[in-house]
Amino acid sequence: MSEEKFDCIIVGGGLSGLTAAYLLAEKGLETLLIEKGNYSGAKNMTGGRLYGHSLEKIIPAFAQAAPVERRIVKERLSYQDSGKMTTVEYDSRGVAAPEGESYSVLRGKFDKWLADQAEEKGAMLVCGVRVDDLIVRDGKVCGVIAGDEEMEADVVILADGANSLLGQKLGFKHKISTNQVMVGVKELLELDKDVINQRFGIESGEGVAWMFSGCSDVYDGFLYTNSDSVSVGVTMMVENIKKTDNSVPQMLEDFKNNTDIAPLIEGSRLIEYSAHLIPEGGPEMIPKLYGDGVLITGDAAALCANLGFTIRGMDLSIESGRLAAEAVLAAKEKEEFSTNALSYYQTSLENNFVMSCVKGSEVCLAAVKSGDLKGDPLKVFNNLIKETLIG
Amino acid sequence: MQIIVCVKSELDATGPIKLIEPVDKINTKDLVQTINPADHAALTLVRNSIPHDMGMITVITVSPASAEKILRICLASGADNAVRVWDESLKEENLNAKSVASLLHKAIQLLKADLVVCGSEGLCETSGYIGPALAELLDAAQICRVDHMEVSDDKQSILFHRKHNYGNREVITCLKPAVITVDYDAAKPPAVSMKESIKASKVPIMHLDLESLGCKEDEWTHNANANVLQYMPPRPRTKKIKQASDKPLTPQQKMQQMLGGGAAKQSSNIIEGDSKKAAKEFVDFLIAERILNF
Amino acid sequence: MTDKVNVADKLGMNKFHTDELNSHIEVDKEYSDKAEIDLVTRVCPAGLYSVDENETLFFDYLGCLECGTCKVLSEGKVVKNWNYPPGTLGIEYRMG
Repeated sequence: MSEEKFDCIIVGGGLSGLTAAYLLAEKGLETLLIEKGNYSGAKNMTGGRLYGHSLEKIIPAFAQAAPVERRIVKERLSYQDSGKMTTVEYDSRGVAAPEGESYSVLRGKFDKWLADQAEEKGAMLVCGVRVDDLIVRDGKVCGVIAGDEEMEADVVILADGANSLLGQKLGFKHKISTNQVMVGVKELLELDKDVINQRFGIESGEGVAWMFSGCSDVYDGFLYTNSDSVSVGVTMMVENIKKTDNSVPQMLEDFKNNTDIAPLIEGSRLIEYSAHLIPEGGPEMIPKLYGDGVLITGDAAALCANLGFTIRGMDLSIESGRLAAEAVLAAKEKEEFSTNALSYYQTSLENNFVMSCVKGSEVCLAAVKSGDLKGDPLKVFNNLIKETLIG
Repeated sequence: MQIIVCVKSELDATGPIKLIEPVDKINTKDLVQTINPADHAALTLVRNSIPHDMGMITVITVSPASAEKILRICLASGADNAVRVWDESLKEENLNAKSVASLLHKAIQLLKADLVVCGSEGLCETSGYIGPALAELLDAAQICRVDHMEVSDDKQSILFHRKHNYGNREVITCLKPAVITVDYDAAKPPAVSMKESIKASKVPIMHLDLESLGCKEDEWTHNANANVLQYMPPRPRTKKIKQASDKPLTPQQKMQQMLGGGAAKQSSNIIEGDSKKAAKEFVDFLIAERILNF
Repeated sequence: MTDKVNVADKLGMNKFHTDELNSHIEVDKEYSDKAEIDLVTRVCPAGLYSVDENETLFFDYLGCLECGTCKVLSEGKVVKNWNYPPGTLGIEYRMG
């Protein structure tokens, strides 16, 4: 037994980990969050856009204090086909409801802010440490091992991202197959605020989220407007590398140079080049979510949903962090952290929009595989109108 | 033995800040705070050489509360205590190196030290002023750019090594108090430790304001004697130019390209013309430069 | 098709804390399935895998974005061992 034991250790300082840390510390639990980067956000990136509702529940009006980029007021879906492009635009400037808002974000800044909030609540954050393994005794997870150091806890939350090496070591998460995950690669391009406003027909503080399909058989494109930069990138199902002779970096270059994108980013300057994996395997990909002394949240739990007209990941991560925290708090009351005690986590996820979104993505995946979604932007547009963006 | 290590929290500008045109101010809004690498190396060198039972290390910084993270890093890297000097009346932009040195001096007088250690230069403003200034104010011995320290066998003295020419070393000793400075590459800071970080988070950080230092408010604003006019991008460098097939470069143009900018350009000549003329010019050049003696 | 992309230049805009001693990804240099090697070479968003004229496989860990794509595609084949770099090292996104 070591001299120091925490109520909860969270591995990973991304959105689900930080949310859990925030809520557990708020309720007075001794919480340790361990992040391998030098700060939260150092190892994270997004396309990307955050749907605000799940964080709004935890930190009301968070967007006023958090470093969000622009509030998305225009959704565009484009289908490109041999030099022609059809674009459908949904303009929501008339709507002003914080629960329904979404924002373009930059994770290097946003996660750092959320980490500060968690620390203010009393969570202990240690950055710059890579957790290599878990302490498991008689089938129960009792803590973490980093290098030659061990730290014990009643429960460990694995929020260690899409690859979740720890989830795999534990045997909860299967090897990811190439048709379950997309690689997203992005360039962050600096562009003057006013130029962005002019080119996209928006005011300062307002933003555009734009998805492109048809630009290629193997990848899709995206573009998000940030405060004074634009995120441009492509996503490709890893499996699709077998269907092309092209390379991923070249795909991004081709997309940037395509006749519809190039004028939008004319005169911009590259600030950062990033890449990440996006779980897209639907419900089948979700690992065993809990066990004796352990829970898995966020991308590690493959809680992502590609709904065709939008991708949901960050808001689902935050919600899963919240539900994990609730499960830990309930277990703490009974001082019991067994599989039974923590099963509350899975039950609450299943009754939550998180799971219905992930299941919704299964429909989209099937449609994509069958070729339904491509070539029919009006169908997608109809879905967009029918379903609320919250889901 | 009481040891004080002076540390500075700086904006980490080591990521690529690429300027394309001259600017008045560098945009620092997205830069993170980090500990000055030379200061961290200084702390590491001292801690590696002097164990806890022989010397207590106090780290000190002159900085607003945002720098407490840096102090916690130091506490997790071997420091025993931490002190932060700041007062509400102080403004970061009005504190130059002289003010900081003066404030550190007052704090060191209060805390008492046998050995004062500083990084030899900062990350951004590399004046290297603080160490020598403190030695002057404390009337202490000064050894700059210490590379290695060792405690003598009788534990009564410390030997400091400095690099000398051709790999030789100076071994120096002096009377207390002493101020030493350390380069950023003299010691590698320890890897982040969970246990040390947790312990460090519980150590109370002493806060010294102007009143506790016995100072008056208006002594600390020093106007800068030198002002930064602007920041400029690097000089143009040789670039590999894609050659259009219908416009080959002449040999002279290729040479011009390879020479690029900088001192090399000024002391280079390109001789054009036919080979006989070029050969004569070349030999004349060699004689004029006394490379050939005829 | 556009000009050939220069990923190295793009990576030059990123901030890395280099692990001077070790690569966090170990590549199987003996691996001989050319088709598989070609897939990995093309899938890496940072273009870190390359094959020279003698068909020797090279992997340059210095510009790694730690996404895991090569791991998903080819762990056990081209990729012998995949891990994240030790804490504090590797890519550091300023923006993300």
